[in-house]
Formats: sequence, structure tokens, C-alpha cells
Amino acid sequence: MPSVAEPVIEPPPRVASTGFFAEGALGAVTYLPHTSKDANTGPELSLRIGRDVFSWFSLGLYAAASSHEATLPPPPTGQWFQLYRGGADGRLGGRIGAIAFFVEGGAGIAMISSNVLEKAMVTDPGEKYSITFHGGAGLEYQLENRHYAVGVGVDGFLVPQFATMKAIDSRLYLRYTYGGG
Amino acid sequence: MIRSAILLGILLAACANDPQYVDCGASDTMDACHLDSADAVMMGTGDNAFSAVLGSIHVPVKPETADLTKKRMALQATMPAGVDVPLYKVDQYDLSLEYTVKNLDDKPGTIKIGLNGANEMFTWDPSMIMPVGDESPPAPDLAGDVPIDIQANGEYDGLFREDQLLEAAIDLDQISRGNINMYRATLTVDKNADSFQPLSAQMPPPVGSNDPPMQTPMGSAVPRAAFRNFIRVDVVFKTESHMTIDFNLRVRPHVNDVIHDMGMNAPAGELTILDPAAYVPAYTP
Repeated sequence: MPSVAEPVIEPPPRVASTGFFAEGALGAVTYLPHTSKDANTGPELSLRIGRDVFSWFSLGLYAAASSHEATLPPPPTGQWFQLYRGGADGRLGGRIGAIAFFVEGGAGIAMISSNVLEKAMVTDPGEKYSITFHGGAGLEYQLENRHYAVGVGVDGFLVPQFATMKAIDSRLYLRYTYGGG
Repeated sequence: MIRSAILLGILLAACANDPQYVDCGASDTMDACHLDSADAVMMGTGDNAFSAVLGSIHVPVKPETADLTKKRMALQATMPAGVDVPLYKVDQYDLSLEYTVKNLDDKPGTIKIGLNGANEMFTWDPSMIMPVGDESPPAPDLAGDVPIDIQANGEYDGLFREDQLLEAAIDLDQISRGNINMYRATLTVDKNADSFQPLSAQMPPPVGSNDPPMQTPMGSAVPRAAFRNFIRVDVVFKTESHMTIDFNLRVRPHVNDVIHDMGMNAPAGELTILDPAAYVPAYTP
């Protein structure tokens, strides 16, 4: 009795939409020396909107807010401040099946909510704003619904006017892409 | 939904009214925010003499602008006769004072921290006031002066809250503008008062009597909108041990912002630095 080969059913390729997208993220911002002795790691919320110009390149706008406990020599004690960042960036990426990867970089503006770090000479008297630069990379997992993806991203950012403050921004995000392409 | 919640969280955080931290700065070198009990001097007189070290920090208030003058004049027009609207009012900013005490001795010690201050017209300095009565208690500090135990080589962080400094500022205004007895002013809670009634000056008892004459209401009541705020905060640090105290002010501006963003590091010409004379009541029972 000749055997009959079972038909092989290939899973459909994971499709990811491209086009306008929005990301919401939860994460943490950790300061690097020398600021790390004056401010603790703190929780972060961020939003990003953008457009995939090509399947491998996108442009975006971001806004992020993180909250930190000041740990400089007392007084003050137990005081918190917020760091707000906003700007634009570009992202280069590729995809292997359901996994996408990217590198990104950009610039923007940072605002600190309080002068609590003035005593540690992180900010100068009256200073609240600085330009900021960031760069990083991430991985993204495409869900079966082609509009949704989840990912992790890690960026380093530099705030030159705030005594060259350096920090790591790590986040988990959910992405929704409006386009159907 | 999630995105809306995130956006709301960011907006709420952005709307927070963070205090401005004010350390002693370059604009007034007489301010001292680090005190060492080794520098203590004798204050007061007689039985009320005590050893203490005094520090001060100014509130970094800006000179009045034309716009603020206009607003003050508009408010003045609503005031009862004889009530002056001050330049720096309690509704313009809140103050709190944060401090850290370090015990440098290898044995426990006790401290007392008295909080006083000055408004734009008067300084409150209890060491300048000598109550007449033999058994009269010393003139009170406006806040604090409570014993606090500190362990050997220990550190203690403390705070005079915004409501305590508000109460102290109102007490000073009541004492200096309203002739209200200093013990009564400091022992009653007036931080929520809508007004206070100035009284006639305290007078010594007439010959042949031990009781001073009753004080009677004098002039119009002073509405809260005209209450004077502190423009300088003074700290009296009392201890028998070797300790240090560091403190800073936290200022939270509200309406008609008069607080300089650069604090006491602002150029001196952009600040109003006042050191008014000490208030001494005509008679102190």
C-alpha cells in the first residue's frame, strides 16, 4: 500500500502593518555617575507617535516623564522631582519573522520640575531646561493581529546643560500601527 | 483607554506645584544655613539667658513691579480704613524649613530649635524682649523650641511645615500690628483666621494695681488678604552638646509670583533684601 504524503500546512507569515503608529510605554530611568549619587532610579511613562517612512525606517515624536527621589546630602530628605523629555527621533530597523529589531537616535528638550538638585550643582540657579540627545536599540514582537506589537527598548540619554547628566531609559511598550501595508 | 490614562498621568504630574529649594546664596553673605553649636553665644538676660547660635535665610522676593503695584493698589482700595496692604502677603507664597542636625558628640544630647522671622516691617527676636514680671516666662519663639533628643553621633532630619510657618507669620503680624499679647498670639491657632482685630497698646498697671489696663479694639480689623508674610526666617539653635544644623527653605509661590527663580543666588539688584528692626512691645507683662 503506497503511502500518501500528508500535506504540509505552512503557517502564514506574520504580517506587520506599517504606517502611522503610536506607542505607550512603562519603564524606568536610571542615572549614571555622577548624577546617580544625587537621584534614584524612578518610574517612567512615555508616549511616541510616528510614521513608518519605509518598512526599515521611521520618524517619530516622543514625550516622556519620569519621577525620582533626590538623594543628595540632607537637607532636603525624601524629596522627589520629575524629569520631562520631549523630542524627535529616527529609527532604523529590520524584521525576522515575528521579531523586529531597531536602533534609534534623536534629540529634544528636557525640563526638570524642581531645583532640588541645585545644591549638588546638577542644575544652575534658575535653570530648568536643557537640550537632550538620546540613542538606543530595541526588540519588538509582532502579535497575530498585524496592528499590535509589544517590545522592549533601551536608550541612553545625555542632558548637557544639567551638568552633562547621563541616564539609561529602559521600557516595555505596546505599539499600535494604523496602516494596513 | 490605556493611552488616555498615561496622558492624564503626565498632565497631572506636569501640573504639580513643586517647591523651590532656597539655600543661603551669594546675594546676602549675612545669611547662614550651617550652624555649629561651638559658635554659640549667650542670648537673653537674667534668668532667661541661654546659649544659642542664630542663623537666618532670606526669602528670595523680587522688588515690586508696576503690574504688582497696580494689583496692590486695587486691593488697597477694598481695604477698611487704616489697613495697609503689604508688599509680601501670606497668600503669595508658602514657606517651609527643612533641617538636618548632626550630633558630633559620642553621647546623646538634646536640642531645641526656635523658629522666628521678619516680615517687611518688623523682626521678631525674643532675646530683645524682657518681660517685666519676675516669674514671667521668656518671650516665646514663633514656632518650635521643643526639646528633641539626638542619639550619640546621630543625625536627625526635621521640618517646619508650611502651616507652621504660616501660623508663625500671622502671629508676628498680630503681635506687631495688632498689639496682641505675644503669649496669646503664639498659643492660639490663627492660620485659618479671616481677620484679626488690632488692640490698643499694652500698658503697665496703674499705680496701686497689679493688673494692666484692659486692651480695647482699635481701628479696623485686618483682613486675611492684608496679612504680612515672612521675608526672612531665623533659626535659633540651642544645645549643650556639640552639634551642627543645616537648613534650607522651601518656597512655593502662588498668585502674583514674587519669588525669584534663582533664589538667593540671583543678582542682588533683582532681590528685595530687608532686615527690619526688631519689634519690642511697649510693655510686656
